[in-house]
Amino acid sequence: MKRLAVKNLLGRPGRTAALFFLVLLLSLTLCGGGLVLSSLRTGLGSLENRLGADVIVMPAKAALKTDLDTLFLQGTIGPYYMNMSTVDKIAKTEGISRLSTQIFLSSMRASCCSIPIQVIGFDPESDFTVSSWLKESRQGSLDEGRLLVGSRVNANPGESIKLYNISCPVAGQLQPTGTGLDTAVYCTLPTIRTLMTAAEDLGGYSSISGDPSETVSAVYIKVKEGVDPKDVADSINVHVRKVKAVQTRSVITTVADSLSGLERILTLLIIAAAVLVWLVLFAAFTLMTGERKKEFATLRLCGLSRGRLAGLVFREAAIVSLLGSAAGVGLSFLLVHAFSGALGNALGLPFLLPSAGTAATLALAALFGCLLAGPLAAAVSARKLSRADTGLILREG
Amino acid sequence: MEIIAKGISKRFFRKAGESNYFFAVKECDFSLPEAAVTILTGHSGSGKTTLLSMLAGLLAPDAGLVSADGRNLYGPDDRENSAFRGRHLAVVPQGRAVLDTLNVLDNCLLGLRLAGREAVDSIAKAEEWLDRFEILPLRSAMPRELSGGELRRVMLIRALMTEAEVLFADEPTADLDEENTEKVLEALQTAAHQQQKTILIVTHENEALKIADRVFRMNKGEIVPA
Ligand SMILES: Nc1ncnc2c1ncn2[C@@H]1O[C@H](COP(=O)(O)OP(=O)(O)O)[C@@H](O)[C@H]1O
Ligand SMILES: [Mg+2]
Repeated sequence: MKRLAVKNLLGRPGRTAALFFLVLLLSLTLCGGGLVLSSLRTGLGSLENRLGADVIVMPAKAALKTDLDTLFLQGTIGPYYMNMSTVDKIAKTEGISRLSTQIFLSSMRASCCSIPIQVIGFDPESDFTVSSWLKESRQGSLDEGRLLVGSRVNANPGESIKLYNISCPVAGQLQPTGTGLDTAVYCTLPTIRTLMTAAEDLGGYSSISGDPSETVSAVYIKVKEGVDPKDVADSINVHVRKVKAVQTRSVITTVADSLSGLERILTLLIIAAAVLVWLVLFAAFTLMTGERKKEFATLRLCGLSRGRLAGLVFREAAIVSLLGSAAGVGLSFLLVHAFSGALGNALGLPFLLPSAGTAATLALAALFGCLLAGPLAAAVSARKLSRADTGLILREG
Repeated sequence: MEIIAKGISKRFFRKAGESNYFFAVKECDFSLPEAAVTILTGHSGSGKTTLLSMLAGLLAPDAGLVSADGRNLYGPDDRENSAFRGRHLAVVPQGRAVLDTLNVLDNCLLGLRLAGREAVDSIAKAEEWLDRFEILPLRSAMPRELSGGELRRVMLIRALMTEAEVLFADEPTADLDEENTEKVLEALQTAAHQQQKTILIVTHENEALKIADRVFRMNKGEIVPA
């Protein structure tokens, strides 16, 4: 029986290939679509996690020039700075539980730097936004002068990156977030201040006014429990000059809103495509069974019961469907993996491949969806067909 | 094994005079004794194939019973019926009934394999039959490469290989030359007389009458002794 199923498949290569590609298409739709959807979800989740802050304060000039959404997707706000004395004023605001500063610096496309890149300096002592993520991925200690690189930065631990003529050893690489943060490098405040000084010396950073050691780019604030972040942001905006405080929640909500809109459209598209392919597949298997009437009658003639006949057809369809859907699942992973960056950019949303568990669930669901279509259709119609008297089928032509 | 049919009939829907259907086989009793060749002749359309199908367990009669050694061929359990047919009844149908994805040898062994009764010497036996019917060179050929007469012999070998006690053959010599007709008839006679098989042959061939133990004619759905 097993050999007969395989022989039937190999004996009709055209038919087998056509069914294989139909199943592949179905599984590609289900698995690939599911992967894109869950990558967007995962991206949003990671964005929320990385944004441990309730309020972010940045120089007013930066707020004018930066689209707030892209701030979070890109992680930095460009070359705008404020003075440490401003930070002290911010710190006096009521309701703040934690406060941490960050400094952003862009390396240049010039001979002094090996790659153009965003450098993010943070204070490991007070930090609460990057550190947890760093801990997940940390491989080396972040001493003075050393860097951690984002997952999409092309440098391995042990190598060095040259920034403003300073060679910085790479201490480790971070887990991906699906956002612009993946293309940045991270270091401590003393390190980035050294880099800023070097940048100034090279004349590359005219916008840094004053002493680099007295400068920061942004302040991240976590409010005390029970305090509304909006009150804190408003208070800062009123009392501290030349800065702009924004709530991160509003940003997340914006991203989440555009995501859920997109999700709805994508889900509809996937369902429509899957239903279509499913119907075609069902029809194909049913038609094929009708076409094989004579063959089935021959098997019945030789003493095969209806049940065993259905089993044979089911087995054939299951082999094709398993191979087809496995290929479809593999192809979806390949495609989504290869184009994840491009997809994220095109959609303007954080895009991060889901965990292995979620991916496996998706793959299984796709396999199941495919197995539900073909083999079932085939077995049902084979059984129905074989209810007709064998004698009658055999005398037809 | 003895096949006994009691009061069986089969009608098909077709306008015939006043009624909406006509009887392809009118109500009749019929039996096939062991170790004998029974031959059924008659004009085309007289109901021979319909009768043979009912006796072979392939076409349920509208009325009446068919039994083999007392066992109803149309019992309620399809699995049991099929298993019984596969083991005890072998049929060479009138039309083409081979698997196109299997080669000649595999087709010859199909009945045996489906019944789970292939033995170590089965292939050798099949090759012996192929040689005897002069188609051994075709053992690895696919059915679409075969002529009607060659296919007919393949189906016959498939039936003989199962070693079923009852053999039904619907015009088994229809497209065979004289020499092969002789060989096929001889094989069927040997099966009846030396292996005590129950054999029913539907044929127009006068040659066949030579090996017949009993001969019947069908005429418009009625069985008449010839
Ligand atoms: N499925 C069917 N539907 C309608 N008429 C049928 C069917 N099968 C057979 N018949 C008719 O029954 C009669 C007997 O057919 P058959 O037994 O094949 O004749 P024979 O084998 O003697 O040539 C014929 O007139 C044929 O047209
Ligand atoms: Mg006939």
